[in-house]
Amino acid sequence: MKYVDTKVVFREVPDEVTLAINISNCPVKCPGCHSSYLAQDIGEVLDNESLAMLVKRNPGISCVSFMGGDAEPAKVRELALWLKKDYPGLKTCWYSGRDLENARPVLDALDFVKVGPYIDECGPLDSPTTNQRFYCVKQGEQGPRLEDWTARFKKNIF
Amino acid sequence: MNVIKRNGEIQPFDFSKIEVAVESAFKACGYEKTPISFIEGLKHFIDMFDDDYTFKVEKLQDIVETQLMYEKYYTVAKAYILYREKHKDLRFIKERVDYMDTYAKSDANAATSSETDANANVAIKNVANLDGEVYKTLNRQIQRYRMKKKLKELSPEVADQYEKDLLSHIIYVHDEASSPAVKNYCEAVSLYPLVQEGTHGMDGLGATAPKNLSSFCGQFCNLAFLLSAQCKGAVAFGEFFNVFDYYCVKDFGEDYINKIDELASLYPKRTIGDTIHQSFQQIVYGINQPAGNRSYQSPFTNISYYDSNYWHALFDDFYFPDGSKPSWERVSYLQKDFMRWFNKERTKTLLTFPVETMALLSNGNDIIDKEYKDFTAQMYSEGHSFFTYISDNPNGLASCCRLRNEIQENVFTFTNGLTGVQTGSANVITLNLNRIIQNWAKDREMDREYVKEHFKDLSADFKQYLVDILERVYKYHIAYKTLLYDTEKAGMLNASKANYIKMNKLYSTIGENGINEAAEFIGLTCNYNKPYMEFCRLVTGTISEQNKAHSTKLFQFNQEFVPAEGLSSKNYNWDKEDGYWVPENRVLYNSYFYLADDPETSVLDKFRLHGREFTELLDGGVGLHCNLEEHLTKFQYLKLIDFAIAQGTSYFTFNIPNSECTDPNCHHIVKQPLDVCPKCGAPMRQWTRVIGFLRPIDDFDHYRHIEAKHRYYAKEVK
Repeated sequence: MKYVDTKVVFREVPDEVTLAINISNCPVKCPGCHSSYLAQDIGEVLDNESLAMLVKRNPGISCVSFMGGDAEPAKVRELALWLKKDYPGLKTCWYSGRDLENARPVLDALDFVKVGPYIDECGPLDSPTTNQRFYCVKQGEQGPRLEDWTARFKKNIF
Repeated sequence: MNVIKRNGEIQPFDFSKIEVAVESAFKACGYEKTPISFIEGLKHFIDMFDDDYTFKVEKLQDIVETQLMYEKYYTVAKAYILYREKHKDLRFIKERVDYMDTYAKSDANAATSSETDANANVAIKNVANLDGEVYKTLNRQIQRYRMKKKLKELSPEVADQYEKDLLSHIIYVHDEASSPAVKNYCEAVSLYPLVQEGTHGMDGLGATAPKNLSSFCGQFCNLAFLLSAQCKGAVAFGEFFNVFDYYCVKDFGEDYINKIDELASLYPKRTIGDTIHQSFQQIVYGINQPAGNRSYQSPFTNISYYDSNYWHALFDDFYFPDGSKPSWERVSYLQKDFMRWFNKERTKTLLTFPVETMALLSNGNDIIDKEYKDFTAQMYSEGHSFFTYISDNPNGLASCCRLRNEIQENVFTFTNGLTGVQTGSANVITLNLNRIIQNWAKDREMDREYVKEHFKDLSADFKQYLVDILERVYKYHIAYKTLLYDTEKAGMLNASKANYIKMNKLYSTIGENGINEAAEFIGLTCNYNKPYMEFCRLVTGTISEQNKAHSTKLFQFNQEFVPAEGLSSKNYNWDKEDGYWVPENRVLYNSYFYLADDPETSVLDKFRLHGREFTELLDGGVGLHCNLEEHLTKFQYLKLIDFAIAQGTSYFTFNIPNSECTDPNCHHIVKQPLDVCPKCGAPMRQWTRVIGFLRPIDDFDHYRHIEAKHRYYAKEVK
């Protein structure tokens, strides 16, 4: 798994200060994708070591979000679990381009998950007609429970 | 032979023009015409110059004068000298009239049309601000003459150097041209004199102390105008809510905050809460009015909010003249009520003043007053725009006096509402560090590549070079402060006479501009990295240590990273024109430790770049302006406040551009950057804190305007 760049963001995960890691080699290939360059297999290797370096370089973050990585969901889970173990204060999020069923095996490693491909007519998460869903994942004894937070993406104009 | 005219144009020399001028002098003295012998003598003298010689007009006139004296036409010489003087006056007037016509006719805004010291705090061009503009160049000459005279008396060895340093643009005196009189720069005033005797000490009128909330509001507004007319920059009122509370108690009783919904007046029917809001409105709209006596700028007014620990440390020993004390519960109620009211009012009109600062006290790990920390984040998330100041010196709490000193050391900044009391800045002289470092390299005959490679070994020498300049700057500061003391002694500074400020508590400020560009010149990158941090600390540390060594009871020095609203573009352009290295991708010098236009610098990096590692040696100055495209949630603001505490980022604001509909019938305001009005579809104009205070981007000068467009506002990835 490789990543192209990172960015500190606020919109992607409500209430968190998030380091978004843009992962390449995206297999989903949504028409009208905002980051089509991520379809290529480019960038640096993303492993425990490079992840630790990224976290160290960005003090002040409260969450790490994997943007993409649908080609290797198991790797996303592995990295997220490793993060949780070594940085207990950090939350984890995965922006997947596939549907919820595809993401289920990864949920036990996540605090948040976004699922659903980008469909131009439906618009992104802040569009009222969006097909995408953003969940807060609550870990419990019966396994992960999902709270739908998609409505929190609606633009708040005042 | 040629003549270079006053407008710089070069023309072939024409003797007949001299003949005309000389003839009118002779005729004025009763001669019928110029004696031929004189004309010939003059011609002969001028013919002695080389054929390719270029005369200045003044030089030719000097020749005529000398020739008249030589030939013993003393009366005519006198007439000729008077004729020259008269034309000099006329030329000055004509040139000023031309400037006024250009100012009036040009489409550029007030800041861009200003010849010197442009200021965005002027919304519209009119005859009143033109009045102020027209004499600025003369004001500057008067100020320099006065300084030179004082320096000859106090430090004759640098009397001539002062103007040389100004003209070579290694130093800059802020608002030098705004007034011919000697005034202090900015001040944080005590409101005690107002409570004691009303504005009498400032206006000399017979009015007595305000007796109720309504008369306080009226007198407070007058006071803001009176004080700002007698200084050059901002006026901060750190006790505003204490005094506001004092008059609320007078009108509504001690427990008014528990009966806010009770009626305060029957005609019109108004509750206590309504009356308080009415008073906020009167004051805020009052101080946003342009002041005719300051070139139509509104009085630059700052106020402070405090959390409970800060407030108790500052005001526990405070008594009003009638022996009563302000109460924290009531002041806290008023602070929060005002903040919410002001946030809402700004959706009706985008009001610039007061600039607000929330002062929070941390124990190094967290804000001690959790309620105020929470409220601060809440207000940011509701779209309110204000500064936060976090003091991370827990020892400060041990003694009220020490805390006060600490606050005072950070007070005297133009955009900062932090208020010690009766302090401020006497004068601000800013160093152009990019030019200074290049002059140093040139002086030591080193090219840029060499400096880049060897700066580490050369830093001690650069430090000494800087110290040598500072030695002169202290002398300039002492001369100006002495002029201020003289003016005070003559009874001309009402603010100190009436005890709103204390002259010996005003600092002489050394400002910094061009530090990023100086760092870039020696090959450093202005992001979070150790060599850049060490360079910044070398500069701020040198100034800090020299300030301490030079401060005395009467002359105290501090340093600020100045916002340099107008100076940044001046320094950039002066340096570029004079062949110094300047970054080509910028139109002005940067005003923060981070580069405002760099998308690679994250929001968190900006906090680190204004954290203690970079700013702890400064005494004040520009706050981190965290530019964001969208408002964050309360929890995100809380996380950033936590990060600020951890990094020692003491002074910051979040800046999300506001938009105002340009259709006067709609005038809808949203606290987001939008191009099109969501209500009526008309274009919107944006307001931002380009520097310190919230103004329409349209009101800033040409260069700031371009820079605002290039600023990087952090936004989401899609």
